[in-house]
Amino acid sequence: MRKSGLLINRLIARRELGIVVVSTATFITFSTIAPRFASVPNVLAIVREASLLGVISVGMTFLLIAGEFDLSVGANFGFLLTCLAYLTVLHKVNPFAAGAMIMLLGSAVGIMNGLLVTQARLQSFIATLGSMAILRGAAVIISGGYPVSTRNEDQFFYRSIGGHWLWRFPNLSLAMATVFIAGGILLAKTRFGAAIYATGGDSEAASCNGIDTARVKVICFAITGGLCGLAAVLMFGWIGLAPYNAGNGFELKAIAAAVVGGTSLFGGRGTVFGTFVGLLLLGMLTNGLILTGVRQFWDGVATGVLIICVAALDQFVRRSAVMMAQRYAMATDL
Amino acid sequence: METVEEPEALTRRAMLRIGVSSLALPALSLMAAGCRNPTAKQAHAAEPRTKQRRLVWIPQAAGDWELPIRVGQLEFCRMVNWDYQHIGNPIYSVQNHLDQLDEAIAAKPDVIITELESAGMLSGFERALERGITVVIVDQVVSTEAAKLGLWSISQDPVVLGQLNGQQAAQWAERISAKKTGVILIGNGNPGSALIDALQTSTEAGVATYNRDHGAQFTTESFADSAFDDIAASISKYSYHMEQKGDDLVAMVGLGGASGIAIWKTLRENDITPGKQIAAGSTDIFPDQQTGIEEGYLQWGIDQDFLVMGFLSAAAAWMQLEHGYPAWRMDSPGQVITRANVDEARLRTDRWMLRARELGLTAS
Repeated sequence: MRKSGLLINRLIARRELGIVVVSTATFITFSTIAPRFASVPNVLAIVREASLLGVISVGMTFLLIAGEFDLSVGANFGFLLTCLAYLTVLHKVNPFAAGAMIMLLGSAVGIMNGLLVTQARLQSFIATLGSMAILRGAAVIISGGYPVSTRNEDQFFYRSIGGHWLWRFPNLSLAMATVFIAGGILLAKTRFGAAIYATGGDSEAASCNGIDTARVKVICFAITGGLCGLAAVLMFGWIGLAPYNAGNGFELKAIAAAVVGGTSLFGGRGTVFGTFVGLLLLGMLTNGLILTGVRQFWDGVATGVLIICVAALDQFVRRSAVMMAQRYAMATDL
Repeated sequence: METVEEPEALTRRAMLRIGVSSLALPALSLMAAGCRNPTAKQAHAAEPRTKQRRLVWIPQAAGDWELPIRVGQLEFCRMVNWDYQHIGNPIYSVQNHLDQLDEAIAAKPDVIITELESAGMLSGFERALERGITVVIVDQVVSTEAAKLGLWSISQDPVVLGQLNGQQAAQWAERISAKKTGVILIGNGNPGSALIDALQTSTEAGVATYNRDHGAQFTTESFADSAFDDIAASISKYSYHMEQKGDDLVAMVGLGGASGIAIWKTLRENDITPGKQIAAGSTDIFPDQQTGIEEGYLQWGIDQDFLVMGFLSAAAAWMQLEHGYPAWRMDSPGQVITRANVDEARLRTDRWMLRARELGLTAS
C-alpha cells in the first residue's frame, strides 16, 4: 500500500478527527463574528480557564477508558483546596510541602473510591456519589462555610503558579499542558496504558490475559484523586482563596470534555488528546458566546445545544470519513 | 435439716456506720453547692429573667456572609440564656432551604430566624406561624410578603444599598478614566434571588442618578458572573468582558459575595495597574475584598453590617416574645469603605473573626 494511503487511513481512523474539525470550525466561526476572539489575550484566557478542569479531566479520561467514572472529583477538589488552605494559612506549613501532602491525600481518597468499586463491588456511580457527599460535608465542617484566603501572595509559591515563565503563557496552563503530555504518553506508550484500554474494552478478556483489572482501576482512581490535589494546589496558588464550594459541577464538566473529545462512556476508547480538544471546545463556547454579546441566561442553554450539535456533527463527520476512506482504499487497490 | 438464721444484733459499730452514711449525702451536697462560681448568683441576677427558649438559625446557604450573623445571634442568645442551634444545607436552592425550614418546624423551637429570599419560601413561613413559632427574617426579605405575614425583618434596604453602589461606580469610573461615557459592567452572582436582583436594578438606577446629577452618560451591562458558584470561572468571565469591551469598559461592579473578589483578581490577572484604567468595587466588605481595597484594585466596598443584623435579629425575637412588640422592619446602616477607612473595617472583621473562633464557629 502507498504511504500516503496509510497516512490518510490513519488520520481518518482517528476518532478525534471529527472533534478537531468541529473545533476548528467553531474557532473560525467565532473569530469571524467576534474579531477579538482570536486575539492573543483572549486565547490565553480560554486556555487559562480550562487549566484547572483540564488537569482533572485527564484523570477522568483514564477512568472512563477503564470503564468507570468518578462523580466525586469536584467535591474532592473542594475538600483538598480547603485542607490546603488550612495547612498553609492557619498552620503555616510550607506551601510546597502542603501541596505534596494534599496530592497524596487526594490519591488516598481515590484509592478509597477504587477499593469501594473493586473490592466492595459497588458501582462507581454509587460509590463516588457517596464519596461526593462525604467530601462536600467534610469541606463545610472544616471550614465552617467560611472561605480561607491568604494575604501572603508574594511568596515564591504564589508568584510561580500565578505568574508567566513562558512569554505570556500562564504557568497554570503550563502545568495543565505537562499533565496532558504525561497522561498522553502514559496512556498511549506504556503497558499500563494498554492495560487500561484492555480493562475498559473487555474486562473478562483482559483478566484472562493476565491483567489485574482491579489493580488497574484502583490506580486510575488514585491518579484521578492525585490530579484533584494538583488542581487544588494550582487554584490556591493562583487565586489565594479557598471557597468551600469550589469544584461544584466539575465532575459533569470533566465527563463532558472527555466524551465530547471522543472518549466512550462504555469504556475501552478515548484519548487524552481528544479530551484536550473537547475541553478547549467547551471553553471556546462560553468565551465566544460572551464575546458575541449573548445575554446572561442564554449562556447555559446555548452551551448545551452546541454540545449536542457538536457530538452529532462529530458522528456525521466520522461516518463520512470512514466511507471516504473505504472508497479511497477501494480505488487505490484497483 | 434447715436452720433459721437469727437477725444480727445492732452493734454500736453498725449504728455509727449508719449514722455517718446518713449524714454523708447532705454533706456532699453542701460541698458541691459551695464549689459553684461564687459570682454565678450575681450573673444570674444581672441577666433578664426570661424563660428558657430555643432559637434556630437557618441560613439559605453557607458562606462568608453567614458567619458574622451567627456570631451576632450567639452573642445575644448567651446574654439572655437562650439555646442556639444552627442548621442548614450549604448548597443553595429554594427547595433545600424549604426542606431545612420544615425540619426545624418539626422540632418546634421557640424562634426560627431565616431569610425570605423568594416568594417560594412562603408556605414554610406560614407553617411555622401556624405552629406558634416566632419567625424573624434576616438579610434577604421580600418586603411585601413579610409585611403581609406581620414579620420582623432585619436587613439592608437594597434600594439604598444599590444606589450607593451605582453612584460609587460612576463616580470612580469618571475619576479613574477621566471620561463621562463608557460601560459599567455589573456582575450578578445569584440571579433569581430577590435581594441580589433588586440590588442589580438599584445599582443601575444609582448609575442613572449619577449621570443625571453630573452630566455623565455611562451605560450599564449586567451579566451572571458565577462568582457565588465558581470563582475561577467568574474570573474568566470578567476577563472575557474586558476583552470584548476594550477601552469602553470603565468600571466593574459586584453585587456582593465573591463578585468583588473575582473582580479584583481579574484586574490583577490582566496586569491592570491598581487604580488605573478600570474602576472596581462591590457591596459587602469581606476580608479578601478589604485586601483588594488595600492593594488599590478595588476602590470601594459597602459594609452591610452582618454582625449587627445577626444580633438585632435575635434581639427582635426576644422583644416580640418577652415584651410583645409588633413587627418592625429594621435596616442595618451600610457604610461605604474606601482606602481611607478600610483599616476600621479590618479591625471590626478581626474582632468578630476572633469571637467566632472563641465560640467554636470556625477554625480559620
